[in-house]
Amino acid sequence: METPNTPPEEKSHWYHIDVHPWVFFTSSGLIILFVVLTLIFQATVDDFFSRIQDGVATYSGWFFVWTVNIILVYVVSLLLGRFSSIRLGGSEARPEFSTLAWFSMLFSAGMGIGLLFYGVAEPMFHFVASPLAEPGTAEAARVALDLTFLHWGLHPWAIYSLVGLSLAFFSFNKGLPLSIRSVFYPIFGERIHGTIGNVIDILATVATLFGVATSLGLGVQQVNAGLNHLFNIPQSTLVQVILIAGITAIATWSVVRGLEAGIKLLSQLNIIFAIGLMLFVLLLGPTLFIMKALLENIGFYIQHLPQLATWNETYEATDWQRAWTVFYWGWWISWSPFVGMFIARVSYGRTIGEFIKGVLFVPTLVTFIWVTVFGNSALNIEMFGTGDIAKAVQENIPVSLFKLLENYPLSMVSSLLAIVVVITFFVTSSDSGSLVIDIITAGGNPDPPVIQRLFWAILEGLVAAVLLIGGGLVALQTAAITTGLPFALVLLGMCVALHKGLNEYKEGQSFEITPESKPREFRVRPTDKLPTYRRRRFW
Amino acid sequence: MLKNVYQKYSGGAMMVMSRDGDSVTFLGTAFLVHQDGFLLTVAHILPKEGRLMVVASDSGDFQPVTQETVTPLPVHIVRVDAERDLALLKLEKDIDIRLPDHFIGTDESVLPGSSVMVLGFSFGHYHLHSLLALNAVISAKVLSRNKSRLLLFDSMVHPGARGGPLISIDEGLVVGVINGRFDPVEAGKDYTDGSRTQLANTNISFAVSIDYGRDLLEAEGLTPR
Repeated sequence: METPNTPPEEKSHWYHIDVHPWVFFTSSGLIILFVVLTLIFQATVDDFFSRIQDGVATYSGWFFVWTVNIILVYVVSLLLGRFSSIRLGGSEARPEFSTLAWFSMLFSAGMGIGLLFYGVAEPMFHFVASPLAEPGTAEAARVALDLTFLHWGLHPWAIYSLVGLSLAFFSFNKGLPLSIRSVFYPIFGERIHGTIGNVIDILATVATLFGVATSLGLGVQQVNAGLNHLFNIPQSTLVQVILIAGITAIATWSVVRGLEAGIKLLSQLNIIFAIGLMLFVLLLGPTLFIMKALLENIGFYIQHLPQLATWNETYEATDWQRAWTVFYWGWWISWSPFVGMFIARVSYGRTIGEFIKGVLFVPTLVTFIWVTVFGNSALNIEMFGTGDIAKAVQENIPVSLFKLLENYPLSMVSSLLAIVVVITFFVTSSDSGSLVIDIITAGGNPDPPVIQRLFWAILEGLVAAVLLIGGGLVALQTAAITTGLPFALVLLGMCVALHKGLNEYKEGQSFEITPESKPREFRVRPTDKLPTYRRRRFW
Repeated sequence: MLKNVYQKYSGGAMMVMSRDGDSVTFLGTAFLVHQDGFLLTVAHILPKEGRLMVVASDSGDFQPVTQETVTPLPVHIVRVDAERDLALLKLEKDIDIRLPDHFIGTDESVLPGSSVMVLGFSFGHYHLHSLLALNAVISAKVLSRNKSRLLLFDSMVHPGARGGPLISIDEGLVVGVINGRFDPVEAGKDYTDGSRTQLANTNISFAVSIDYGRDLLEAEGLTPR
């Protein structure tokens, strides 16, 4: 039996096109329109969106805090509850990717580049300007790591789990297209195939493209800063455009080759490089300090999770959270359609229990190890070593990683490795972003035609380059993050919709027979007397 | 879960009926085993001659307990294994059939104590046409006198369920074909009158290992799945 949306074998010619006309052309048009408008009215656009973002953060911070906690509790309850044995794709479905490859792809798409810089920088920030402890003390160090864990830990992955699970369930188990609109099926019913669905998909496409493109644009500035720091390569638009072109070229190659041969391969390479870099710092850095800190950090996080996760700075009357916690929550939520969609695409054949363990706990643990290795190494220098790293980090976040590596032997090698990791993280975000947009604009086809993959991967690089040259990266990134507020509401609705869907779900494949023509009716004649059977040969 | 097993198999369980002009009479249960329209059942419910038909079951939602008319599909007997009391039937018309990817297990899937589901039209002979699901455990795995592998289970099977599938709950796979009640007197040596089978008063029944059903399919050149 064919399960709905089993990823089909690739078979079409390269020129074959499969687009959802409304979604594809309207999104492309809107993206170009937005880019042009931003280029023309740069300052105004920038001002407009930062005001919106400011307002959102100030007045609805509490709402974000509520939302992410509800999502976390709901996702954990799914793991423990009666739905956890439901398999995505039906009870006979088998996972498409090995568990290791799956983790690599999840992690590469979900966290990406930010972790590389903020893994070092964020604990530093909280250590020298702690909202909850005397700055510079041991307590401040503990809280600094704890806050970083909070921002990068269970909550973001719970958001991704929810979106990924909803998409996977409605697509693989209910036979709806692999598209954001499908999640709304329990709310809008068949109308998701009409205008409402188109609008939802167009919004998701535009937000994802701008999210990925602006990260790419801003990210290459960081790479450039790193290269400048290392090799004195000038920080110029030209270098950055070349970087964008290079990254886009690799990402395009990867998207065109497909999930199995391209994205999976790069994700695994990416993880191998990242682990190499991490081991480098772990072994050459303060190994003992890191090993002790890892357990203590995780223990502290678990003990203080309810306290920190629900902290709303109500009694402090400060606005520290606006720039950190609330910003992060908005950021993760605005990225969730993209990451969730990608996670859904690669999670066919997992049970809900496996899915949540794999998407919520494993990446969180990996993140914790990463942040501890890099964050604590930096802290160690600040607290017990030469002690000049915090200032340098605060002045220039993009070089924080390289500043750290300078403190250890073989820094040339490790910095080069770091650059490679930065670039592979970029490529893996970029190619998975293009794939997601591709799938949506192909009307939910999980394996969109090659030529469309080419189109979106290149458009993404072009948008990044144009915004980099013409200005407006920050404005559009802010714009992308402001979608976090409406989408937070959507996420809450998604909890309800998913629960409803799971509750009504009848699991598994079954026997179905459909006669070609309507069979004729026969009268049933009652049995005259109960039968007696002859003795069988068994006895 | 029992519910899932029922949902998986209820569409595959069918009533076997004998045709007599414009009317049909209930004989027992059969279940689909192959894409090309093959069904498995027990041989001893089938008449020596006459035309056979099968009727698909209802959806599992509330349905009338009895049906005055049905829409049966004609079948014929393809193969009989008298030693194991199994018969392979085939639908005569081309019919679009969708099956689960994997549903035929082996008798190794269960051990005494394993939970199984009994599926059959228990009261078909009483003109009641509901598919019944019963819950049982494997009581013993025995070799009969003619060296057939039989699964005893603790459920009182009614005549209409003969030919139905015995399904392991853990794996959701068919492990046996339901044959009838287990009669210790009959199974004991010095018993001669086989016609008293129905009167035996234990709540133990038995099914023939599905492995013999596999053999039957393979003898026909079909791949069980």
